[in-house]
Amino acid sequence: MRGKININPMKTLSTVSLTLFSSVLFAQSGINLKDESFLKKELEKTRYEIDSDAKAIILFEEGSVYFEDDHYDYKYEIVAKLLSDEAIEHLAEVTIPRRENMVITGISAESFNLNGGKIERTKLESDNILKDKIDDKLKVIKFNIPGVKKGSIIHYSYKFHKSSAVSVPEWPFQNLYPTLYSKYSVRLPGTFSCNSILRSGKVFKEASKEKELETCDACQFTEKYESTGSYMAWATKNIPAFVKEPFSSGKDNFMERIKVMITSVYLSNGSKYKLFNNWTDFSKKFLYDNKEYIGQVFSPNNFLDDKVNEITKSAASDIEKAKSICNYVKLHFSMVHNDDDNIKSVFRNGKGDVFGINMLMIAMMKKAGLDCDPVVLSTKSNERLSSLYPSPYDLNYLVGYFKDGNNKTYLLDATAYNLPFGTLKPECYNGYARIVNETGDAINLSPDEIKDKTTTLVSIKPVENNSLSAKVDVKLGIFKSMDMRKDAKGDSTDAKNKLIQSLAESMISVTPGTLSIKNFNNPDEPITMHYEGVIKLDTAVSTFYITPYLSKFYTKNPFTAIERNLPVELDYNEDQTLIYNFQLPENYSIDDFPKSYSIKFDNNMSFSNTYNYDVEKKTLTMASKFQTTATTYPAIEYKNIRAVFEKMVEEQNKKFVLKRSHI
Amino acid sequence: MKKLINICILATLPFALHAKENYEALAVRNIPDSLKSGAHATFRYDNTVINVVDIENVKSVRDYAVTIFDEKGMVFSQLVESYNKASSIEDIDATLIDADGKEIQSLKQRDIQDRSTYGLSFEFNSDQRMKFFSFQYKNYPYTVVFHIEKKLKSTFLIPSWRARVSTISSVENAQLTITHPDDLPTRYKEYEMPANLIKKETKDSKGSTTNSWQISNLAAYKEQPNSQAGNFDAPTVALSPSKFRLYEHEGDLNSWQTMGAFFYQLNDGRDELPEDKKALVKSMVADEPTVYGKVQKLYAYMQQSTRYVADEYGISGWQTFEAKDVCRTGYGDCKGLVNYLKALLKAADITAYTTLVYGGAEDIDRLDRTFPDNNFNHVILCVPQQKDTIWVECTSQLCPAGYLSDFTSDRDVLITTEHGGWLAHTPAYYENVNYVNRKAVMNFDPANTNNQVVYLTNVYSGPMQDPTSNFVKTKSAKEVSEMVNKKFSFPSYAVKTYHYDHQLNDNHIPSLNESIEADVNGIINSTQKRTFINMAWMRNPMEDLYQLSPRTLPIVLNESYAITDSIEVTIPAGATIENMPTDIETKLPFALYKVHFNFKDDKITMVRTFKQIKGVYEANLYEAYQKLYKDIASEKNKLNVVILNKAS
Repeated sequence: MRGKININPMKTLSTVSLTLFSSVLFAQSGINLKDESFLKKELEKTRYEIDSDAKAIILFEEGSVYFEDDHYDYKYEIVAKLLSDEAIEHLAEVTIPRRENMVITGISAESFNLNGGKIERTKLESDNILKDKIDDKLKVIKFNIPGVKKGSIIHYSYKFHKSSAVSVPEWPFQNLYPTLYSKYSVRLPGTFSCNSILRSGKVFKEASKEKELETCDACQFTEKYESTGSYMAWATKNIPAFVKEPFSSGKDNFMERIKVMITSVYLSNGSKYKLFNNWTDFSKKFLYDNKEYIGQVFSPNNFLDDKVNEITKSAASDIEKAKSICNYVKLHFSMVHNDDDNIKSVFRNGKGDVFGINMLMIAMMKKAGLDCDPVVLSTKSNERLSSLYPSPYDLNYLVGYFKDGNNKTYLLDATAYNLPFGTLKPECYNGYARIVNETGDAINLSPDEIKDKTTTLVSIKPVENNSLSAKVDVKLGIFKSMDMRKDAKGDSTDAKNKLIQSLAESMISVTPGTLSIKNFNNPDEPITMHYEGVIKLDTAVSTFYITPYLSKFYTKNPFTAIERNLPVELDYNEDQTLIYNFQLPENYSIDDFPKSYSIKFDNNMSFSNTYNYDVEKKTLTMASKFQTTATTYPAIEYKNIRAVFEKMVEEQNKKFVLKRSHI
Repeated sequence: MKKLINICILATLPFALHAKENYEALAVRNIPDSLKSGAHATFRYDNTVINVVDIENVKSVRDYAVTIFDEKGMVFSQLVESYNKASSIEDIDATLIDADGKEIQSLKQRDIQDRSTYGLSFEFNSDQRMKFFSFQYKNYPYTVVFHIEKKLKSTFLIPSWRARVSTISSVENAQLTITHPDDLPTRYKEYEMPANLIKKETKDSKGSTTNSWQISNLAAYKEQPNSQAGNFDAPTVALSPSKFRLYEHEGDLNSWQTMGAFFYQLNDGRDELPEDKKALVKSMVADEPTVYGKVQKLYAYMQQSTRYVADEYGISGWQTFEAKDVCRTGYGDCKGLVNYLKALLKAADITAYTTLVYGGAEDIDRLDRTFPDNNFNHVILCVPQQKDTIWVECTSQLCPAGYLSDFTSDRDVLITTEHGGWLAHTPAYYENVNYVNRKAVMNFDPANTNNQVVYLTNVYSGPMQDPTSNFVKTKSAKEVSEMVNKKFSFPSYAVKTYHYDHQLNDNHIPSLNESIEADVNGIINSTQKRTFINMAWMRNPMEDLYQLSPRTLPIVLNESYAITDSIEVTIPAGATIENMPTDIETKLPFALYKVHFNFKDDKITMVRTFKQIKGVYEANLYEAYQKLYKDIASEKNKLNVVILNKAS
């Protein structure tokens, strides 16, 4: 979390976890790089029982944190077997971020190979440990482990010292590769109280001695020292690789890990300083009361008076005022990644990050007398917030919560350039979030609440000379409109081209000049498209196979995997409708059409195709509809979801048959 | 920050500004309508002055003003300048002007971001850094005025110049001026220059020459896909030094011969191997009778024992790490790996040469034989033979020796030898070796309404096999399984079994055999009375070159290839076919397209062949190209065999 709280989270990188090199424990966890027969055996292996398909195996990984006062020493160590070129690229090149208040020491790295039955060890030379200054805020230490190829074993370790720290780094037991042994230990001073939050598929047994951690499947050890502190350690074995799947939220929601949250600190005067006790306390102390951070919006902010008056002078109601302010900020302030969340500076410079821009919007709302407060949240790529404990380092987004005079509420984001007033970007609907005001309530931003409703109307009528005229009207839902606007930067030319090209597959010849796209640059309204065309009926034949699906809901089943482990999480609910009306010409009849069809799953997902042929009125109508009313489904239901989409694409590939009567 | 404007510029440029405050000439109303049309930004003036002071001191000053009309033009308001150990950015200044020409803001030096390129490029280690700045202003239209001064520590680094006209930007006025001492000439060549080019050359009494090029009123042009033949698509002055000194190494780029000589000498003598490695090489090739066999064996050894890591810091951007370093670390960049294999081959008494190339599937025309220029981004190895030179791509751990893939095939390259450089052309892969042959067999079973079983037997050859073959060789079984469940364009399917088999033909061209058994939905569909068997679910074999505006530029097709699909469907005996599509044949200078249907013994077969012939074709063929593309696209819906269902 950025801002004025003196807490620096250490987000672990996937290539960089932190383990401790302790020669005693190291050997007793089953790994002993000094033992030639052990090394030879591992070097000869080409596959491992835990996952015969793995591209690498983490044989050993250990991290330790030794906290004293407001600083800690961190040690990391890893031993890995590399079984593929891709894993080599990923694991043999190591980057260690070096932020402020961090001093890195004690780097060592080596590789082992088997060459003609002999073990070859190649050590990293200190000349090859390189520094790079990425920018003003970040430096890195980087190195490439020498002598690495398929089958190599790599081993490296390092330590760093971090000052001005009030948080403990998180430790993932699980990696992108299977891990045979993982251990994490934390030593905290007696002045700290903490909670530890464990996520694992196993139950961790309580060990009476730390030695048990070397051999148990999953256990933890805790030791409290009177006044001098506490020591906690966790170890687990045989953790499978984490595999990301499409249509799921961030990996941090699933990966097995341990989180140690410091909840309070005893100060030298004996008083207890609560840090992350619960959300209410945390929100009040670090957000609401923090005048240099989110508390800014609750300050007088008189410098905004003139501008707010100017923007809202012709607004007749609360909602109109809110829209004027939100649109003004959207139009005049650029979102940049510069950590500028000072409202005055954002206002002056015309740019800021999402916190800065939305806080400016909220402050302006308050200036206009509107009821609007900040909401802090964690976006979908991040770990979901828990109601049970505050996790400040996961708060990576801020929006506005506005209540109009009729108690109707709106969620506002002045950086959601392609979305209407009151709709957030899909990544913001990630469950538990917090309103920041005096009481500080929770709020649930569920993706079930948002929906994309897209409608296509096709009307086919006869014209002279064995032709049919087609009129098509499409109204895109909120998110399909957003997608179309997203990369276009206000220019609808590409969208028009894409639409014309997609029609190459249909029988319709678009009449030039009839294609229009409306509201492309008006995000408060859905995009609508209209075009007209002609279908020529060849007089040389009398049977025509016609598809009513000018655009399919899905051209391919998006659920391509056969099996699934993670829950299916859609970004939003869908409501797609296609209505096709065909007024037949004289001397023509519908000889054949598909049977009406519907498929439903769990009352939350359904697809239906309904055909109706009125022989007397000579009309054929077809209505195709796909709907979801829930966005999250357990993995066990994956096959059913896949089946709905399978049937949907199958049905939308069908045709009806038009015949010309012989006179 | 004072702007330093050369007096010469003031005399020649109508839009140069004399004083910081006077920007009224930049008011948006002064832009001609012809330059606003189709543009999202206009460069009001864009003046570059290069002064070659001496062999290790080149000053470059660029002054430009760009008016941004909307969000799409905003990219031009961003300043991105790179520098490294051999160059420096001496000054950056920027001013934001409103639509009427009034100053709004000016740059504060602390707002300039400086960043390493680590993480942004493929290089593990590099001295290349970048400076970024943008006002991030959204009240369109507005103008940004930039001033950038750079110093280059070698004439080797003099960049080429181009006018910034594009599909989204127009240019009101652009100028390049370069002054050099007469004994240190900079060579130049113009490309794509408009008719209104004003070109001047003046010599002064102190023994220096000034060349200038000025162009004006270039309107934004409409996108015309695949229209660039040659290296450039906008007015460009390519600049190349004659003499230079780079990190104390002297050279001369006057000719391909001298250029090759410089690179050869810079990298010479760095191919020594430890004695044990030399002995290993000798033992490895002892029983190989042919030169190709030896090259392949040593190449395979190198592929298994080294990897690609690009450490290109300072001189290492041009000079290879020594072979013994690569031996020890097990990694190197393209130069390092080429040099290492060269060293291995030397130990086997095989001569090979480092060859400079511009790599990229679309970049076959980067080298202009008439203009020696250091326009390379990669090196490969050349093992000359009496017949069939063996080319080797040393950064690949998957290619066989002698095969280059489309990254470096079919282009001019510069071989560097002890006698200097000479040009050669790498092999091209035509449709006889660059093809896909797919065969799909299915048995239509009316009783099975869930799905159809389809058997695919496909062969990919040449560059067309590379993506799938490389994937299968490097990814895990799970990832390959995911890939096969995504790659085919069936509406919905599930693969039951798959198998891959890698082959190599006599000319060292790799091919891939793919066999798949899958349950497929959506290609055989039934209505109440009929069953439609779709015979054209496959992707369009043509590249989509759609453009809205009339085509005026040639059509450039860089690749020859062939895609053949054979589909065989067995239908129930006695089934009544209501519709069998008719054969199609289209012959055009750039393509051949044939579809043939046959029905015999309850088997319907369709063979669809598409061949593209590489070349540069006249613009008037564009309509025919588009028509063929659309006809094939519409087959997705039209090409159905229709069978009448048996009455139950």
